[in-house]
This record gives sequence, structure tokens and C-alpha cells, in this order.
Amino acid sequence: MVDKQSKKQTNKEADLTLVRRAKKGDYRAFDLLVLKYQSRIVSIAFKFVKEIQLAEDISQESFIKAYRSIDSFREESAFYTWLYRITANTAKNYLVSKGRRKESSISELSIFENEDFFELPTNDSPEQILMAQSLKDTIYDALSGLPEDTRTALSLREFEGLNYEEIAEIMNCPVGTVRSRIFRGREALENLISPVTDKFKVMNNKEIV
Amino acid sequence: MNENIKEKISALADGELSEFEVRRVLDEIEKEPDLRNYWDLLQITRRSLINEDLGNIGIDISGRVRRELSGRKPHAVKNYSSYPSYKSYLAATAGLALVFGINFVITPSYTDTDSFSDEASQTIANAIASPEALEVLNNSVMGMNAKLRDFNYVSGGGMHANYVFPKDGKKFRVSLSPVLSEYKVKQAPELRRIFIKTDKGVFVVSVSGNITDEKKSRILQNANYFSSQIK
Repeated sequence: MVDKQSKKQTNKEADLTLVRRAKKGDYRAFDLLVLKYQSRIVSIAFKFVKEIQLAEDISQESFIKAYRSIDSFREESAFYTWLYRITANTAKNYLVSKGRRKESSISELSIFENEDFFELPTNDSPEQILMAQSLKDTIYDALSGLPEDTRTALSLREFEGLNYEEIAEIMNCPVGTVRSRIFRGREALENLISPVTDKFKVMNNKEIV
Repeated sequence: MNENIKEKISALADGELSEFEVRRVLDEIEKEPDLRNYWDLLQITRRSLINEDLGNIGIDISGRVRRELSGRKPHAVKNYSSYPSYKSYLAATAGLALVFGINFVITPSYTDTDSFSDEASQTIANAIASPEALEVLNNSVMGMNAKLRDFNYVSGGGMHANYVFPKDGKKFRVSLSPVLSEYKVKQAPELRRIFIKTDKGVFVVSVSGNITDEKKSRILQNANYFSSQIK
């Protein structure tokens, strides 16, 4: 059974490690958070402004605001929730300043106030949507082909949101073994999806860093 | 790519690393860009697994965010009223450097830990005197809530900035200086330094003062990270 609360809690704690480094001035930690959330943040901004270039600009500004005020993030909510609010406010302020708020209906915006709304709008072409579906199919096929121990550890982590210690207890093995199994499982999946994500990047003209 | 580091990155994504390990992993990622791409791929894999929407996964604004943050005044030095603004310092000194060249000032009030040859090459001296180099010093204390007390150019083509932590009054200095053939440094135990190679030469960033080693390391890492501006 998927324990959504447990999963959210675990993800929140995962981000906090990096957030706390960023609070100490370690930009490299914040950079990893940018990489993790940028596509979701662009999707949120796109929902408001309906132009991908503008959505990217608003996302950029939102991350900058987040970094500059990261000391004010009190860790009571998830980092993503906090970032989400900054993005929504930045986008709304933009629309207000441009007198374009009417482009997004009130009902649209209020639905979007829910941070758990994961079916984010995108500017993806039909081809990209098909590729995304194909990617998911590939991953699920690969998951079922993993050794049982690896699949179990990975599933407990990703679907049940358990931490390594909890998984180790369930699987009756050391925490280090859990870490290794989860890594191996992800490796197997990544090898399959890497070529697909490369195509996405070409399509979206991903910036080379 | 090192499998051991990749495994640690996987654990980092799950929040399962100690603070010490996190720092080590960030160091490794900084050294090897492929590891940063690995982190990116890891996020996509995880999102795919939990059936999260994969829209816009090819978009990358991280470079833009980094450049924007590195080129502006960070929040670390924003709220001090008893000292002139660092931006004013930057603007003023950049202007002076352009009009009058480098003005060498020796500040005996602070313990001298570095001594440099007077034969600094003009190239790297100019590089250090540039506004970009000033920004490196500025960015080195990003996120640390340190207040700038003053900064000076020093004999030999270097410069240093003196800071204070308002909370506990602890003072420290960050220096940026060329590395020369006759470079000599007193091995002061409180001094930490890194060497950064640029196409203008090699220079040293050092931190000294009564602050923790962790803070010194953090400052040096930041300086290294933002030093690409003067390359």
C-alpha cells in the first residue's frame, strides 16, 4: 500500500540535506535542487503565463528568489512546497504587472494552488508525450526484470517512501546492502532511459552546462 | 564514473548521507560534470518510476540561475548599515582600478600571514583588480551572513577583504593573490588556502581568522566555484 504521508515525509527529509548545505552558503547543493525541480517549476510557471520562454524566465527568477531568501525557509513544509509558492507568486505578480491575469481563469489558478497537483501542464509536442509514455513503459518492463531483492528494495523506497533503515528492517539486511540494491536498481533503469532522455534534451535544446 | 560516488549520489537523492558525506559528494560532483548529469538522470528515473509527469524534462535553466546569482549581490552581505555597501566598494574600486591602475595599500592592522613578491605579473594583477575578481571575494561568503568591514589591495598585486560575523563578532579575512615564483607563505595554523588556475595565471585564495575550519572550507569552495568569472 502506498503511504502517501510517509512518502512525502521521506522526500521532504531528502531535500533538507541539500537545503541545509545551501543555507550554509554551498551553492553546489542549491544547484542540485535546481536540477531536481526545474522542469516542474517551469511547468508551474507555464500554467500561468502560457509562453514557454516567459515560463523559463519566471522560473529563473523564482530560483533566484529562493536562494536569496533560503534562510527564511523554516523547514516546516517541504522545500518543493515553498518553492512552488514562490513560483506561483512570481508568476501572479508578473501577470498583475502586465495586466494579463485574465488569461488564466480563476478556477484554473485555484486548482493550481494545490501543491499535490502533479499532472503539470507542459508545452510538450505529441511526439514528446508519446516518448514520455514509452519511457514509462520501458521503466516498468525493466523494473519487473530486476532481481527480486533489488526490485523489492527499490519499490519500498520509491513507492512506499520508506527510508533505508526501515527497508533494512523489512528485508532483514544491513542498511549498506539496501543502499547498494537501490543503487543497482536505479542503474539498470537509467541505462535504459538515458537514450530516451537524450532525445528529450535535443528536442528541448537543453543547455549544455 | 566512479561507481562508489554514484552510489553515494543515489543515497543523497534519498537524503541518506551524513553531512560529511554530502560535502564529499558535492566536491566530487564539482570536479566531474558527468556526475552532475548523473544526478539529473537520477531525478528523471525516479519521476518516471512514480508515474510523475515528465513534461519539460529537457529544459535546463540551471546555468542561467547560476550565472545570475554569481553576478549579483548575494544575500549574505545585504543588511549592514554601519559599513558602506559592498556594491559601492565594487563600483568605486572598479572605477579606480580602471582610471588609476592598482593602488597598493598595506594594512598592518591585521596579522600578516602571506607575503608576496613585488614582481607580480601585470596580467594577473590586472585580473585580480578586476570587478569580476572582486565579485569572487564577494561570492566567497555567500550565504554566511558575514559583514564586510573593509578591503584593500596589497603589495604584490593581491587584495583582501576583512569580514565580521555580527552574531559573535568573529573576524576573518579572505585574500586573493597571485602565485609567484617567489611566493612565500608563513605556515600559520589558522590559514586555509586553495590554488586556482586561470588563463591569466595561478592565484591563491586564502582565509584566515578566528572562524571554524568548516566555514573556511566553505568560503574557499565558494571562491573556487565563482572563480570562473576571472578565467
